Amino acid sequence: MEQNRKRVFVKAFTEFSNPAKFEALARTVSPYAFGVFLVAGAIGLAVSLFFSPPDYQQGNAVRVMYVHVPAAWMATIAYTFLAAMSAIAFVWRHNVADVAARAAALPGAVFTALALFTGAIWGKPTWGAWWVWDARLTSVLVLLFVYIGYMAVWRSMTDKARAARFARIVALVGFINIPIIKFSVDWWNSLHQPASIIRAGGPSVDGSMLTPLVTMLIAYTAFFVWLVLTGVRAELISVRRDARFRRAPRSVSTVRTVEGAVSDA
Amino acid sequence: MSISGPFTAILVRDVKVALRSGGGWFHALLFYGLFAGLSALAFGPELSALSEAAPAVIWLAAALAVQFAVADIFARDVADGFLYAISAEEESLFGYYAAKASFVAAAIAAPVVLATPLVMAMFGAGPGSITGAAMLAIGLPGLIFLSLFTAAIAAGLQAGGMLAIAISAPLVAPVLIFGVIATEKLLASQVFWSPEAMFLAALTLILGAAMPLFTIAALRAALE
Repeated sequence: MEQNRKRVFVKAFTEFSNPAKFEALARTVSPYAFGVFLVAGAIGLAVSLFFSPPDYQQGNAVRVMYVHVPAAWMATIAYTFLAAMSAIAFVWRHNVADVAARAAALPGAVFTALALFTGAIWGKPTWGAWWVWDARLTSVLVLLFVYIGYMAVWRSMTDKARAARFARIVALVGFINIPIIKFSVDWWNSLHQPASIIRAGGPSVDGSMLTPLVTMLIAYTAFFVWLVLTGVRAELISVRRDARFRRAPRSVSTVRTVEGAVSDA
Repeated sequence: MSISGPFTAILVRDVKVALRSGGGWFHALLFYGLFAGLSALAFGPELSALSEAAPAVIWLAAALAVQFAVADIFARDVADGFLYAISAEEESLFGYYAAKASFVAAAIAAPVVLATPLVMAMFGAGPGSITGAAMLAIGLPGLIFLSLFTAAIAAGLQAGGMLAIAISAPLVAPVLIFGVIATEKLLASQVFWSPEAMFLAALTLILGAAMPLFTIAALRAALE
C-alpha cells in the first residue's frame, strides 16, 4: 500500500516534469482556477464589504483585513512554493520546476507589495502610523527585497540555463526569511497581533469575519495558481518557439527569426 | 585529512598576497574606521547621542566592511583559472572554502574586532567597550558566511558585485537586529548572555551550517 502510493507519487512527479504533459495539465486546470478565483472573489468581496459586521474596536477599518491578510499569506506561500520548486530543480534538475519558480516570483512580489501597502492603509487608523519598524513589517519588507533580488538574478543573464542555476541557490537561501516572518510576532515585542487563525485552541476570530477571510484566501490562491500556470505555459511556448527558430534554415526569409533566436541564446 | 594539503597552501598563499599587495587586510579595517568616523560626524559630537548610536554604528560598519572586503574574493580565483585548477584536482571544494573562510576571519574580521573597543570608547560606550567587541566577535562569523555566499554569487553573475550584495543584504538583517539589541542590552545592564545574544550565537551556528553548502553550490555553478 505504502509502496504503491509512493510509486504513484513518483510517477506523477516524473510525468509532469515532462513539459508537454505539464502543459496539457496546465491547460486543463487553469480555466478552473480562474473560475474559482472569479466566484470566490465575488462572494468574498461582497461578504467582506457589505455582509460582515464592523469590528467593535476598529469599525469599518477592519474591512482592510480581507484584502491585507490573504495578500500577506500569499506572499509567504508564494515564496514557499518558489523555494520548493527551486529545491526540486536543484536536486533533480527539472526545467519545468525552474520555470514554475520563476513564474511565482512576480505574483509573490506583488502580493508582498500589496500586503505592505494595505498594511499601511490599515495601520494609519488603527495604530496611528503608516509604517513602524516592527519585526513583522520589517521582515516582510525584507521578503520584498528577496523577491526583487531573485528576479534580478534571472534578468542579469541571457543564458537561461545558467541563470537558473544561480536563481535556485538564491531562492533556497532566501527561504531563511520565511520562518523569521512567521515567528517574528512571537520573538519580538510587536505591534502586530500574534497568530489568531492557525493556533492551538482554534481561531480567535469570530465566524462572521472568518468566513469572508477564508473565501478571500481561496480566491487569492486560485488567482495565484492561475497566474503561475499561465506563466509556465507562456514560458514553455516561448522556449518551443525559440527551439523551432533555431532549427529553421538560415535563408534570407528567416533572418528576423534567426536574429531573435541568436539574441536569446 | 585530505583537505589539509590545499587548505594550508591556499591559506598561506592568501595571507602572503594580502600582506604583500598593498595590504588587502588593511582595507576592511580602514573602511570600518572611516564609516565610524563619518557616522560620528553625521550624529554630531554630543557624547550622549553617540553612545546611544554606538551599537548600531559598529554593527553596520562591521557588516558593510566585511561584505565589501569579501565581495570579489572568489571572482579573482574564477577569472585567473585558479578555482578551475582546484576543482579539477579536488573532489570537494570544501578545503578551498575552509581556507578562504579562515583567511577572511583572520585577516579581515579579526582586525575589525580588535579595533572595536577603541571605536566604542570614542563613542562614549564606557566599560562595555571590550565586551561589546566580544559580542561583535560572536556575530561576525555569521556575517562572514553570508559575505562568502555573496562573493560566490558575484563570481558567477555577469552583473557583478553590487547585485550580489543587494541579493544577500536582506539576509544580513537578522544578524544586525539581534547583534544591535544584544549590544544595547550589554551596554545598559552589563549582562552579556541576554536572550538576544544567545539568538545571535544561534544565527552564527545556523549560517555556519547552511551557508558553506550553498556557497560551494554557487561556486560550482560559476564554474559550469
